[in-house]
Amino acid sequence: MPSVLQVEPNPSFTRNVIAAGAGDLKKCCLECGVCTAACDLAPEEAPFPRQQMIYAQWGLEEKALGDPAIWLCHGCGDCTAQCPKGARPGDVMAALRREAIKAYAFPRFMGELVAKPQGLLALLALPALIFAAIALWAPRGNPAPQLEFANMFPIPTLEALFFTVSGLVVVMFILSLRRMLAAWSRGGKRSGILPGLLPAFRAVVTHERFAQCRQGRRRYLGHFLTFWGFTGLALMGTTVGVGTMLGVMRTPLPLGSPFKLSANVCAVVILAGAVILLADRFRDAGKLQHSTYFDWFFVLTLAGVAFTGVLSELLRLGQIAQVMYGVYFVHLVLIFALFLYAPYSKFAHLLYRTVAMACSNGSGKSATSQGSTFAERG
Amino acid sequence: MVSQLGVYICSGCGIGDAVDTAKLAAFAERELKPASCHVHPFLCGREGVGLIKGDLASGAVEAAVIAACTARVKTREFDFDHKAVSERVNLREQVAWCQKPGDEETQAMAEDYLRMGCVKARKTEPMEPLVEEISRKVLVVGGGISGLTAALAGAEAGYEVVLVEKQARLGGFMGTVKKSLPHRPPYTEPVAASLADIILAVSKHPRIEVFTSALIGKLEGQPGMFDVSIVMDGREATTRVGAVILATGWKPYNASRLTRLGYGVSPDVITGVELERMAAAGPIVRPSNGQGPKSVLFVQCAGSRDKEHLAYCSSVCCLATLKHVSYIREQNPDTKVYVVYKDMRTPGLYEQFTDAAQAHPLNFFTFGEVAGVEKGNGDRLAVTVRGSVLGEPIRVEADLVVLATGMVPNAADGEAIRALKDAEVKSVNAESENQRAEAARTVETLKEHRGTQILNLTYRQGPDLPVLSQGFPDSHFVCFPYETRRTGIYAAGAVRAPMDSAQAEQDAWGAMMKAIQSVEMAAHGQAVHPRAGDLSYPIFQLQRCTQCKRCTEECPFGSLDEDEKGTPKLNVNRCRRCGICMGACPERIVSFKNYSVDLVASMIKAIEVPEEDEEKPRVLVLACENDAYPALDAAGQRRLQYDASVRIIPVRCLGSVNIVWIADALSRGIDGILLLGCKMGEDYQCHFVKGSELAKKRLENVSETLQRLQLEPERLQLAEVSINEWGSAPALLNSFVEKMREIGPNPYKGF
Amino acid sequence: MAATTAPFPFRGSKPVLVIGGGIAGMTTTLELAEAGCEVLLVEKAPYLGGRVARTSLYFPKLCPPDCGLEINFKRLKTNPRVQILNLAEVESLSGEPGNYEATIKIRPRYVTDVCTACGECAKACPAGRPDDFNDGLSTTKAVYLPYPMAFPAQYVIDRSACREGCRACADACQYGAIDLAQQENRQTVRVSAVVAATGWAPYDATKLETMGFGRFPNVVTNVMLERMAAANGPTGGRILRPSDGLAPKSVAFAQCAGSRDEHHLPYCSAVCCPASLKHTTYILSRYPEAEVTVFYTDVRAVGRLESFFSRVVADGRTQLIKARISKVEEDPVTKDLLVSGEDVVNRRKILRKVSLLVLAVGMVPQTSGLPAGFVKDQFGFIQNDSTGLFGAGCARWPAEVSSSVRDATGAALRALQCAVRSAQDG
Repeated sequence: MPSVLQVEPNPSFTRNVIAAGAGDLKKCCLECGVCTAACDLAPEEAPFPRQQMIYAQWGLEEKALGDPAIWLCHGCGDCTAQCPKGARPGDVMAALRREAIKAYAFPRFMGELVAKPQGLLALLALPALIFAAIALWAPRGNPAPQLEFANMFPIPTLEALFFTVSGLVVVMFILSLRRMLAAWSRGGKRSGILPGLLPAFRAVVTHERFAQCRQGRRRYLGHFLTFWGFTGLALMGTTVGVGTMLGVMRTPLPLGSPFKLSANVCAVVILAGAVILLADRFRDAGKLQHSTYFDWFFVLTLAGVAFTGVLSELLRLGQIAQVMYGVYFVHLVLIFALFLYAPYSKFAHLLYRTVAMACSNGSGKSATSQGSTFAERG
Repeated sequence: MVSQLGVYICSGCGIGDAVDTAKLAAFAERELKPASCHVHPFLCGREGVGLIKGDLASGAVEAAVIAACTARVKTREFDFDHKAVSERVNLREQVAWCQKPGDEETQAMAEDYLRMGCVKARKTEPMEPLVEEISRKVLVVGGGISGLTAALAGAEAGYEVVLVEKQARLGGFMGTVKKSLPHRPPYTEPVAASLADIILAVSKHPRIEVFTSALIGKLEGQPGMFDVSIVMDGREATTRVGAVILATGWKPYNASRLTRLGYGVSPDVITGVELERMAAAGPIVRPSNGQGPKSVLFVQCAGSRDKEHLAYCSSVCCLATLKHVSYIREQNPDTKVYVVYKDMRTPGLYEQFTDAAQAHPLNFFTFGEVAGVEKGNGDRLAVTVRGSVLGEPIRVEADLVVLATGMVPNAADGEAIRALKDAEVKSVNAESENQRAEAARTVETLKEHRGTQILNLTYRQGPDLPVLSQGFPDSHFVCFPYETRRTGIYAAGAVRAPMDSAQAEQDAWGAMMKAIQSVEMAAHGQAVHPRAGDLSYPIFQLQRCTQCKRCTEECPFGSLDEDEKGTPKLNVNRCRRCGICMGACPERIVSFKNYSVDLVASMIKAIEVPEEDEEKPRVLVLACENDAYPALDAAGQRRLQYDASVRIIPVRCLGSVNIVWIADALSRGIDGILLLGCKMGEDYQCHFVKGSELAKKRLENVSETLQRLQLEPERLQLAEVSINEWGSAPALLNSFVEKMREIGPNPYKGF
Repeated sequence: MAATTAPFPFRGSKPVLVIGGGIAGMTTTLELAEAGCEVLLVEKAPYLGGRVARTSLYFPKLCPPDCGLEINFKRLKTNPRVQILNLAEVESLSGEPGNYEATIKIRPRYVTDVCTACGECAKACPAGRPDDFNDGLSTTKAVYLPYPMAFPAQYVIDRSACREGCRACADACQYGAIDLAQQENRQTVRVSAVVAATGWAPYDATKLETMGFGRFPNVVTNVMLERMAAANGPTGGRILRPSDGLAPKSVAFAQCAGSRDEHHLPYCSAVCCPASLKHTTYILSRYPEAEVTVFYTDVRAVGRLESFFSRVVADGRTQLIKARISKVEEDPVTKDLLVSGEDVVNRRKILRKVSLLVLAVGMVPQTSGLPAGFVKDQFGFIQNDSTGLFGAGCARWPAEVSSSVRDATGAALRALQCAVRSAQDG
């Protein structure tokens, strides 16, 4: 007989997963495999999500969290819609992703802090204090003739701060990812990542996998817009940041500047995407996907960043002194939260899913099932 | 012997178009000498029926021969007072609708059938029901849930009941359980097993007499007149009962044969029944140390669905395990429970029970096969499971392993016991050495049946119900599940088939219904299923009996006992009126008032056999009245045509075919004889169990005689035709006739 | 203890009313009548036999139900204590155990009992109708015999199918059996007990969105296959692809189609597994080379049916895969079907191309039309808690024929008790 798996269920893990949003995890799963077959993203061999459901039901923490497959799921709810016993496999996969982010987060306490609503105050307090401090005490040059944010939040200080934060985030991401990869190897699910990386990137930028989900088409569009809007802004932001640091640019850029224009476009795109995503969550009302604090934190921060960004720009152009600094302050706080907490929030799926896709490609398993090739005709 | 015949020919429904009815009537007048003869265009109408009724009432006619449609239709229209004989001649389905209209062979066929019908009518005697004084009391053997339910149900319907229980207390297995299955809405939680009420009701019921610590000493007689002696510690009581219900329940499969699963190896491997007892008595603990288990693993199909052990599925083990899981939950919510199954078999509304159990976070269900149970860490047991839900073999540690073992019926195989007895005698005093050795081998193979008697019937064919398969005395018939081969004795509950307590209760109600029915039918001298209501019965002219014992051995229902000389003694209320004894008897001493060797022989002789040079063969078809005959009607109904040289006679069962008919037919110059009967073998359809099989055996013996008579054995053929094979039946007839044409005419023509 | 010959305990009792003339209802009726009790059997169809009459073969013996029906019909024909009302339904019910009053609505048959079933009327009839007996897979004339061995052997007219003012059948009938003026009428009867044996109907497969029934012609249900296989069925027993009338090369069975499913039937219908095992023998007996696959969740061949299951397994030609079909697609050209599921034992996705897909749909109890008073569970199955109104057969619990007949025999005794009491009350 091949290697034998020692089974010692860990009930507390099961409880955590249920707490993390998989309320129906134990709802009399039949072992019928409808969920797996319903999923066009699941591979031919060792498809998900049934197996991961079982791991979670049986309280096998390592098996469940250390399985890259949980990241290949895009949470569209095709499985949940069809499960004959209403065990909601989609929610289970989402819950497992949350648990995985938490479990492999570096440092661990941050994982805990971001995952729980109780942590919210502290999470926002930190940037709030920092920016308050900047506003009060940061050394600034002589103010510009018209109202500018720089008058209150000097650009060099912000740049210094954000470059440090980004650096920090990158390091944390790397450390967390190493933990996760270690878990994958322990579960024998780790395979060469680099070979699969390119197709993975393609999949991410084109959202080709997302497009295969039959339920939640709107969600796909929303996610697509948000993703591209965000990527665009991130690029603009960095370029402009670097540009000003080198002194080749000066903010605020004139409205006509291509950078400004595209940045504004991106902001609007994010907003549109975020609105679609939020609307979808409200319309669905938990039918296909159960929304948790973890989801709201990420979606709202992201939406908030875009919203306050556009708003503060308008206020600046309108030269409305009373509120523009306040809004900009909030804007800064949200950007800070979005970035600094990325490795511990849902944001992290951007990294983990990409790597998991690369990994599954690398393992030679076609991640798009034969089923999906007929799906269009179906 | 009836002398005054009335012949009534219907010309409706196309009969008149195919047959010259006027000519037919003229023929009847000329040859059959009826007291009255009429052709009517609509015989089943008020006028036509009135005509017949009038003749019968006036006494002008004693027996009416109705040449119209098949007897299977217009039954009530042509149903007259049972004292008057009425005989149906099937001119519609089996002549007009399946033959060339206006053809002389068609006319000849009609004439033959009419002649045969008249002969039959003349030789049929009016039926007098044989009514004897019977007892309406019902004996229930076994005081478990089935027995108790049956007893109370019968008593509440106004019937007296005698309940005999082997143990000192009533209740059987269900009397010892903690709870019973959730057989009522919402079907999710086990329900209280309250046998106390029914036990009280039974013990207090004025119409129920209870004997505990009692056994059946002897049970003799027949429905309506069973004499039973009940033995309790030395004392013996005798009473007369009308019917018997066998509700002796089941015993768990012997787990000591399951050492592979650790039973008997570790004290902490127990059976589901042992767990049930433990739960009913107090807390569930590990036998090894008396402590509550923190983890329990259930092994489903332990010794079931397994050629080595019980080949069948006991149908309750999955449910029982779910119940046991709920006990464990009640006792300690933190216990981990594993269930390893092949298929989770919780059919019907019990599905809700599975759902409820699986929903608990600490219940872990997996399909798979237990590869082994060995010592694990500390004092725990380690169970290895192949092909689990986890996609790889798993090893689970548990404090307690529970084997869901199957049910074995508390039944005895009457026929096997009789066979054992016969073999034991033979093994001593058979003539040849080989015969003695052969018998000794039989004794060896049957020895586990020694001393297993329950009912202790005095029947010639053995002291208990014959078992069907896998030890259950169950019915063979999907649509008649209470059929047994011992009239008036019905099995109920887990002794009949593996079932849960709710089904057992239902079963008990049904068995009691059948018991009541059998006494009521006996009270009116009627046969029970499948010839329900038949008033005819076999009459034996014993002075001509040679004690060959064929009838007593071949009766499928053990109706016949023997005296020491081997003379058959009929117990008419056990008899199903199939006529197999009549077919078996070489001396032709068995006959019914409306069905006898002579009667059918005369019908055969009534077939006009054309001269050899006319090249018109004649083929006799003896068709089972329940399957082949309706199939031929259906063929006619669809206007499927077949050869005009066949002459069909319905028989109660191929088993009632006496080979003398074959001899008669051949000596009359009939070219071939085709017997159409039911499917035989494991899935036999014969409602008299082995009728067609017996016929086959008898034919084999005949074919030797044929060769001696220089007759081709092909002239004699038996074919299986089931009722839905009307489509192929005509082809079958045609090809047989063709074969006869090839072989050429019967040389005995005109002798 | 002397022998007691108590008098016939229920002489003079009121009759028992049995609703439904399927195998269960017929059984309750016959067991009571043969025990000496008067019975009124009410059936809404123009014939008796119900679902069993529409079944080709029984499992596990693979014997034709007509054989048992022939015996039961014979028992009914010859028993003077049975009164049968076809095309009839019980409208209302009042009273208490031992003494109920039931109002029965009888729809016109338009053919009287002088009908000889000679068939001349159908020859003359110009109009047609879809044959509900064959699940609409074939047609009959507007005047028709429900099925060849139908009992009563009496034609019936579907007036909705008749042509305006047409009297062709009436003119063709030489026996004056046709009465186009027949009206619906009502009867009120006093009975001692009521047994509802209203049976089941297959779950509506069009509700199974992912299974393609109704959209793809080669997706059929188990009950349709039963008709296709029947000698008296629409194809004379030949099992053919609806799309092109060709022999199927490969056949898949989807077990639990809409059963054990909270979106459809949460319960298990208990018969679909053995039925599909039986159906594999239908296919293989006709097409020995056919590829047959059964996709199951659990094979529920309980009790002695296990040996039937092992017989099919031993035959080796049927492949059993523990998987539940979750998606069905059609190849638009060949009309073949692509079924997908997960082989959960081998953790592999399955995508099978088959030429015929049979959905093993479950049983829905037909109890909604019953008059008030019957106790039912959350699914509509009748509970035998009350003392005078009982359920029998699949109206009480989903089960195969043999269990239903047992159940119906037990129900007969429950009713008999009421009859006895009604006799005692006089």
